[in-house]
Amino acid sequence: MSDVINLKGIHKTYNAGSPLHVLKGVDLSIGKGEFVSLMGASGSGKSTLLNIIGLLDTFDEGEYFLDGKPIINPTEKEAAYLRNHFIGFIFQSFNLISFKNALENVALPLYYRGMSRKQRNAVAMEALRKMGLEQWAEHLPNELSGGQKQRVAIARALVTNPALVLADEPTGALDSQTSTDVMDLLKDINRREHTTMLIVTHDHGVAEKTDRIIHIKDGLIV
Amino acid sequence: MRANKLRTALTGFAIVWGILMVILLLSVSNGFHNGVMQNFNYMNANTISIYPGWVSKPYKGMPSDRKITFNPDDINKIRKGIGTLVNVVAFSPVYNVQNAAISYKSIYATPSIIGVCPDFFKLRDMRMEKGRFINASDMESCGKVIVINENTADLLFGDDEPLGKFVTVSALLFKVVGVYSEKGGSQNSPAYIPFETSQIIFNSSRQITDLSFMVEGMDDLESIDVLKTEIRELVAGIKIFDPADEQSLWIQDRREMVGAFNILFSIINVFMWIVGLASLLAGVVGVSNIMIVTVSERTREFGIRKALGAPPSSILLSVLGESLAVTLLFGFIGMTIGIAISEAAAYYLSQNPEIVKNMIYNPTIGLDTAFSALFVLVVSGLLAGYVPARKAVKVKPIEAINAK
Repeated sequence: MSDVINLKGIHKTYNAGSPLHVLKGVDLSIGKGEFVSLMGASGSGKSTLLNIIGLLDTFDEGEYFLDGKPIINPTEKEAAYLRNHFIGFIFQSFNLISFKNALENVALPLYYRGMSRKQRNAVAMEALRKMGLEQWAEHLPNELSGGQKQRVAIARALVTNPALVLADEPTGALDSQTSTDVMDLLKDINRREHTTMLIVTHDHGVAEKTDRIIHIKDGLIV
Repeated sequence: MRANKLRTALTGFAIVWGILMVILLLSVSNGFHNGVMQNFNYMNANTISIYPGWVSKPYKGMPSDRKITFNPDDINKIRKGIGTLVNVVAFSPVYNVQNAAISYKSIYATPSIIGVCPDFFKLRDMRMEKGRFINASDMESCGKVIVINENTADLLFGDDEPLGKFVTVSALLFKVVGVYSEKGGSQNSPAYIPFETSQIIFNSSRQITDLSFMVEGMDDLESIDVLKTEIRELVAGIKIFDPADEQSLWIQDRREMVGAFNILFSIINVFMWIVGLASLLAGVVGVSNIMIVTVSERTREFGIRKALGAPPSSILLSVLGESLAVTLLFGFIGMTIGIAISEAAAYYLSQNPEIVKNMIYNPTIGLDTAFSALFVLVVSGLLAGYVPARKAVKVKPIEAINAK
């Protein structure tokens, strides 16, 4: 099984007041090195699916294999370990920690791996250098432009060499030129490093940059 | 917390105040304790004294209204008898010489003059400043030697060396062989002469004042009560009087008196702790509240950290650590202020003891209390951090993703 993600019959129901059946049996597999986008209208269940894939949320029914390993009701500690070792996250709102500089933000996942400060700073610096942000290493997030922030976030997602990068509307907060730059950057990384990427978007322009577009509608892959 | 210094400082003040109260209350309680105990301090706590009294009831053919006296033979029997009941560390008959004064040249002092055995030194909490105490050869030779208090020595000799000088006691010359000091000592603190000497010179009728001895292994008041009954029976057997006749023998033990006061002060101490801790609790609640606010503000940050792989334990420790750091920081400030105030008060009172009529002495806390307070602070910090930390752990990483 060389799939990075393999979902079989995933169901998810939210019980907020009246039960809301969000995912109604999702089957999905994404192979190693794929550059895929997931499209759907709001309420289609795409964010829920992304959260389940990213181990940020649980599912009720079905099977999930992450990089060949079955995911069965992980504890919060196990989920944290898996997120740290297998998944890199890129968020729409960047989600950089505001009182830490670019280098510290990028080094944070390595801290949770127990790496020494010296070592993780070296690795994080290399990741920033690849993004062309060396000279911004000591800057706080609010001193950076939107594009720079997202590139710091990308560096943070890639710094652990994850099997899978999940990006949730990575261009949602950026202008169109910067969006194009960021997508080109992600595509370039995918080509050079063969990093598997799943990008959630509702923007056709963004989706078209990817190799495969998966559509989700009313809790099912179409 | 770093981001909101004013808020942290205001909360910290409650902690400072709480621990300050704990320290000050305990200091006052200690000072009161020390003040009262100082009045007992000259006598070691496990010392027991037997005072002969008057027989008030006829018993086994012996008449009443007899005065009990101890001759040397009685003293030996009692000493041996007590030795079979309990481990006696020191034993000394005591004779108070009546109506005597000490003079050197034209200066008089009026301490009580007491005939004692060498063991007596162990019964009193005294320290030799110069020379020596009464020793065995003084007893054998009935030497006319005397040991005086340092204050008496200052009065009689001023700057002169007292050792080797001869003082006059009831027209007899006694050689000063030692100068001692004790807590609360004064010019009228006792002067000691050998027991044998006191008997031969001043006490032809052999009526000693009391027998004092120090025992070992008597740790609770009940066993002392049992011992006292046994001693009464022992002496009653030797001198033939009814053991139930309370007035024929007085047995006084310092431990009982000290013990009663110790219980009283333990109660006061517990009360002070409760009042102090209650005021500290207000500070703990304050820190806890402020930590809950902080955690709410950091929801997004915790979410991000979790998404990046932070295990729950790391989030828990970071919040607990912060609450502990804040509590300890302000706790130390409060402790330092409290100790400074109590030390200053102790110094002031040592210079002006009349203000509190010797009721309060050295109102400071010991190292053990300081460590207890430190322990209380650590517990407070963890307590204050617990609820916020649980809240932080429960933050879902999705909340960070959804936060705009």
